[in-house]
Amino acid sequence: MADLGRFAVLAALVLAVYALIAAALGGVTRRWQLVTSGVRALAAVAVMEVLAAGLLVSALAGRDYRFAYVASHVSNSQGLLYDITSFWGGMEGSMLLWAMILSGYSLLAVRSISRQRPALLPGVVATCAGVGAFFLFMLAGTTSPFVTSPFPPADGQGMNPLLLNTWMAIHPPTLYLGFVGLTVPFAIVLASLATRPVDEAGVLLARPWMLWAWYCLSMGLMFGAKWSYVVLGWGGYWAWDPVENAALMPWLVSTAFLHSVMIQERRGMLKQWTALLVVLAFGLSIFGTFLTRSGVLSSIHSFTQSSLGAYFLGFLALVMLVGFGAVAWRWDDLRGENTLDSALSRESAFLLNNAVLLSMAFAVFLGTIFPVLSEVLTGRRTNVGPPFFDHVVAPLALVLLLLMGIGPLIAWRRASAANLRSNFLAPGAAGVLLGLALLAAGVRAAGAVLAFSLCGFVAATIALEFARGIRVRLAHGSQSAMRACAALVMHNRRRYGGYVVHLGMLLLLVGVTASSIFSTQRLVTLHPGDSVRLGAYAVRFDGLQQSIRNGAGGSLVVAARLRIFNGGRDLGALEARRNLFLAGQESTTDVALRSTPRDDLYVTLTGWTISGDATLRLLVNPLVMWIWAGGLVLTAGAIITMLPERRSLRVPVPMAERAWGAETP
Amino acid sequence: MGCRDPVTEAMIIALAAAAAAWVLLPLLRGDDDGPPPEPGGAPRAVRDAAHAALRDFELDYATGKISVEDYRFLRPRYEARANGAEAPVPAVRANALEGPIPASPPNSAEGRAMGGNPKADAGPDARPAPGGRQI
Repeated sequence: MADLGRFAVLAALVLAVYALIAAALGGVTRRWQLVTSGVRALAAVAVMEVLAAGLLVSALAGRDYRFAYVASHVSNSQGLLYDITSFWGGMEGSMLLWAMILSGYSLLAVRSISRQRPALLPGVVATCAGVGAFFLFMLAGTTSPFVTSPFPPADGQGMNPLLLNTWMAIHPPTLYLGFVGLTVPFAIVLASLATRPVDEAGVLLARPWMLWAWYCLSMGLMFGAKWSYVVLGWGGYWAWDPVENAALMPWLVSTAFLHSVMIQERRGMLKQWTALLVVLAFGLSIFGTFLTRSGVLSSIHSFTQSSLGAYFLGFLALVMLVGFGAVAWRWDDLRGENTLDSALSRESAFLLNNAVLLSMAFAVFLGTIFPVLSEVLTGRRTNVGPPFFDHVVAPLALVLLLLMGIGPLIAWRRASAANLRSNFLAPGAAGVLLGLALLAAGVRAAGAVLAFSLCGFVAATIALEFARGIRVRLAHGSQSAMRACAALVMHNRRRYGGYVVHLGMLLLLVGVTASSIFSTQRLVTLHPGDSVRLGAYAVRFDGLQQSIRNGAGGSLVVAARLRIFNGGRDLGALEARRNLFLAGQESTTDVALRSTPRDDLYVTLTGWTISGDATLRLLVNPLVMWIWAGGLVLTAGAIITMLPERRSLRVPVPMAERAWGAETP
Repeated sequence: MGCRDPVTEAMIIALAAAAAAWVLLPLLRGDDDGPPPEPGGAPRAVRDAAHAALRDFELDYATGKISVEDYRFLRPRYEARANGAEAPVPAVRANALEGPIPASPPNSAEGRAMGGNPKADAGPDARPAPGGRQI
């Protein structure tokens, strides 16, 4: 079975290299037979990878410890679900998953491009095959999951207990879907740059792929945050860990692309910029993979130190050289059709939005690689830590929040005083009133007041946009406000889907602001029967309980039994547990968590004595549930936005008169 | 590969032969048919973008976010893009190294798509083809 797996990977590598050469040669010599042969080779690559993956999953599920990968990631006491998810729990398996996802995406891209723009096919096939060939080269050479041992152990090591969690089971593949998804826009844009004249359709064809990759990255980040919150037991969800940052950077750049491409679609501007963003987003996805797999930075998520770093760095350099080189080569052909008419316009707001997003990405990049930079420059490794990121990124996020409100309302081309007055008076007043109300309520944290006021402003702009759109549709014959709203969204999916995404981001930002600034915590040691107050909650410690848990090598479970009260009302029992694994030195935390829309009561057991006392860390984190709700709303918005536009061969007639508006001719 | 299991060896040989035949078959056929014809009209993504932009533009005007002056200036351009997106696709060559292709004639779809639609340039009073109001 291992021989067959090794053959499948090697054959996939040969086929990918062939697809690259055949498609490129076919494109240059205009011999379509070669391109078709390259496409077929790409399909054969996918078949070989599926075969390899099937063999590996079969070995994992069957606990075939002859495979070194299985012995390292599976154990007899591990559940079947985690046996299978260990497919992407290790370096070799995750690389195979990466290659397999890329093949799936490549075939979908080939199908879509050959229907819409066959001229781009050679470039798309060659690029996808080239990227796939790199990963297959790594799998065939340095990180083969099919290495076998002549003396297989009776039991495996199993996965790190921290990874045995549902959120961690879905977090990596979701992130991979996003990371790998950035390859297709890169391939399409590269292919469009290779056509003559430069095919402007390229960036527009890349947009749906970028949106999908952006959504997967968003969800991957969200799942990772949830895992961090419920599993690691430190009370937070985001720690500016290098691997978290590795996913955040391409997310920020792809967010910038999704905004700047609107300017290209509507005004024929920023073509060079959008092409650069596509290259940069893909480059950052490879950089993120390098960070995770090279071991240059320590992270709780990263794989062990390996020799892959040099290969990834070389590949990253090649990708950046080819990508940026292609944009530079066709720079003059990518010039915009229009120029900026005014600093007060939607174009300017979007441009500023891009500048802020890129600044955030650069700050995150700098903070992430600072330990390596400092070691190279001074010989001492210095970490900048969360305070650096908080101080740099938070003000930029506030500017971004402001622009999130300004962008949708400000006029294209140039905004007049009347436009500004009619569009911003009500939302601006809503934001100011919210700020004053918070101050009157005794909130004194300036950052929080500013952030919530801006959130109020943005929420009001979204509400105003919906209200105005509904009013226009009602004026045009819709029967009810609900139907008008539904029709409005379905006829303008990108726009209103985008607003729903903004709403999700608002919920997320409110949750992050509140839980970052107003979180309270206590560290207490209690005797059985003692109570402690934190915020509105009273927590009574009812004693310790010990048990043995089977699974994952077996563990000793120490549980602190707690009773929660709020204003004398009994809210029920909770248990904060520590699992001490009998094999090895590891332990995990089961958080006692009571979540409500208002706040989370979060209790962890940090220590105990023989006499039965328990040391507990208690936190009250306000509005954390809003963060997860934000993820759901964001999903709804992304689905609306990703739905295909309603086809119409008719060009809408000009509006006879405006249904709403302050300006007069 | 150095494997000893004859079944595995047979599977490997069969897989390799099948993959080679599958991949090389197009090269063994006779004449090269050339690339498939470009579909009539711009890619769907371009058409969708052009129509969405025009719908958005109309909605922006209807909700008072665009002045009448800018509406009159910009609408013909949006309209021309939307009309152009429905017209036959302008030719592009897969290989940029081949040298320039001839400029499209003044009345070509490409010319219209880039703002040269004389009807659209006549101003907002020039009505396009009949169609429903879409916002």
